[in-house]
Amino acid sequence: MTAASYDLSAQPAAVQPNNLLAPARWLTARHLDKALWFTGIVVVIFGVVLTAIGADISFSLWENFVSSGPAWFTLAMGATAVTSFLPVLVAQGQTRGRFVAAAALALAALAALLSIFVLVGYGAESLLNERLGWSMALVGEHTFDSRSQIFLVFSEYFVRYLLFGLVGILAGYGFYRAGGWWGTLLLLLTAALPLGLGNILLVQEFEIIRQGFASMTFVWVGLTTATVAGLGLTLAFELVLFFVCYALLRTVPIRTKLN
Amino acid sequence: MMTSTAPAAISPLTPLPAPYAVQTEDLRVNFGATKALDRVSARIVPGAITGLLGRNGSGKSTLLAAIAAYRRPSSGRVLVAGREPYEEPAVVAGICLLREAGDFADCSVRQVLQLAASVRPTWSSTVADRLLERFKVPMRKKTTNLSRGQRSALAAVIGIASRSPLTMFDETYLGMDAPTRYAFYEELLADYSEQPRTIIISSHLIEEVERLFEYVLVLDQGRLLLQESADDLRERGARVVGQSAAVESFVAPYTVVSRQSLGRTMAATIYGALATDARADASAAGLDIESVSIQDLFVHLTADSSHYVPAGEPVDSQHAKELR
Repeated sequence: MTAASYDLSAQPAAVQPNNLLAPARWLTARHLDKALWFTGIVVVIFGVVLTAIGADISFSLWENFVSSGPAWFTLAMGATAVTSFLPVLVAQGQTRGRFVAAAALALAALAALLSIFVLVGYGAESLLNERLGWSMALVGEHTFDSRSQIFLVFSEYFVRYLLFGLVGILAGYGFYRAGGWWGTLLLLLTAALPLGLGNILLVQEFEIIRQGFASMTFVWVGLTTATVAGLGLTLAFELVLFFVCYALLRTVPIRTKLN
Repeated sequence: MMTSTAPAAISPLTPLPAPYAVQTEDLRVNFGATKALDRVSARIVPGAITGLLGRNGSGKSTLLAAIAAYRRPSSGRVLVAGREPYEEPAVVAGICLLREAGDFADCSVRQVLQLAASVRPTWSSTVADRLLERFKVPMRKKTTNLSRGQRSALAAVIGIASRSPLTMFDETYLGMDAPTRYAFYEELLADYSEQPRTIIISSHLIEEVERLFEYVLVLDQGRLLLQESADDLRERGARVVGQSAAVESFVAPYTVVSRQSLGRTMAATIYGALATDARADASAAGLDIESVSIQDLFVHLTADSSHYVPAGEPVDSQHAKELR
């Protein structure tokens, strides 16, 4: 048997890769392990602080001190997905492109779960306001005006957390490709810039949109055009961000890790 | 037991994919100014076990990384199953590269196996369960808390149970103790006999693994030194044993790789094929001719690669001749 006796360019039937949901589910499970700890700790701290000062404040603790936590947590999970799990998935026969898609799906699932967590927190805060006569009001800029606008509250936080998750992938790319020092410096480009842009799109509601279409409403969900534009533009921006991650990560070599 | 990995297991009746052939054409991989691989044109026969040998820094791991699409070639190309594997889902799904350090992240053994079972189309849970028990890999431990030997055993389990059409072990089993290594070789051969596939084994423990090799590929300083069948390679040398004086006289025209003496008896390893009449002469002189180990030849070839390549002739053209 010699090499020359084989047609080395023959293309045998390919191995069909499994459904993309399989690696996405695996990554989601890894994030959930940590998310359970994170939300548990948040609830305990929130409970303690609320008990101590809840009656004395006029603004929403949940809005101002808790709801941003899941955003940074999602960003950290996005970065960890690249630095820890990219080599693991590639070693199990996944392309980098499939990894980015699976990671984005997993972060979307995480963003959805954390948005529900935030929603439940707002609900609890409303209940406390009603029952105990507290007056913890919303003070920040949002696409919603009241905690009872469940769809809007969920949508805003979902879109926000997904943005942070995708930015996390980008930041993780910087760390994986360039190492700790340069990866940190690159955060200006890989994190600060896209987060700034995404936040402007989500809640600042461009004046031009507000003025041009303020009178129009989407009657079926009670949304203003500006709100829809804010959410839609942020989602579109996230799609662009996804393709940027996809294009960058497809080129990254999987390094040898020496333990 | 690893019952949770069952869903993606293939049925024993499902035909497994054909073994992958591998071909590289003028493959170069550079790390800055360093040429890790330099114009490597290699051919890996499908459905056979190939030994990838080379000294430290010879480019073995880089070659395997390029074949597994872990990195893109600087120039030239890699073909796996006739297609370039880089970012090609249908090709890389059939490639399994196990590296020495393992690519397990901070996961438990169970989680790593769950991933393999869910994304490897050819995964066999039955094989994995049996090997986990045999190698005594603790399922609940985090891979970062495993000993080096346990990590190697986990890699061995994944490599064998993945049943990938192209499976590559890059010094994976260095951390194992000797009994576990021999158990690994035994399991690998048994599963390979049951389900033939293309296997590449990169190792420094040549004496231990050379009996597995059907083909051998040797890299030296990033260049392909030789590729041929293990039997042909073994015939490139011989070990002459007998009375010292007779041995010295017989080996005088040959390149002597090593000499070992015990009293008046000498064993000399020579490099160069022995013709039939030379064997008859040796027999007449009361000398025994034994086959030589691949390790001895490897040491000789890589100590000074000019022994192999005729002066003035590029390495690759010599290989092309041999493959014809």
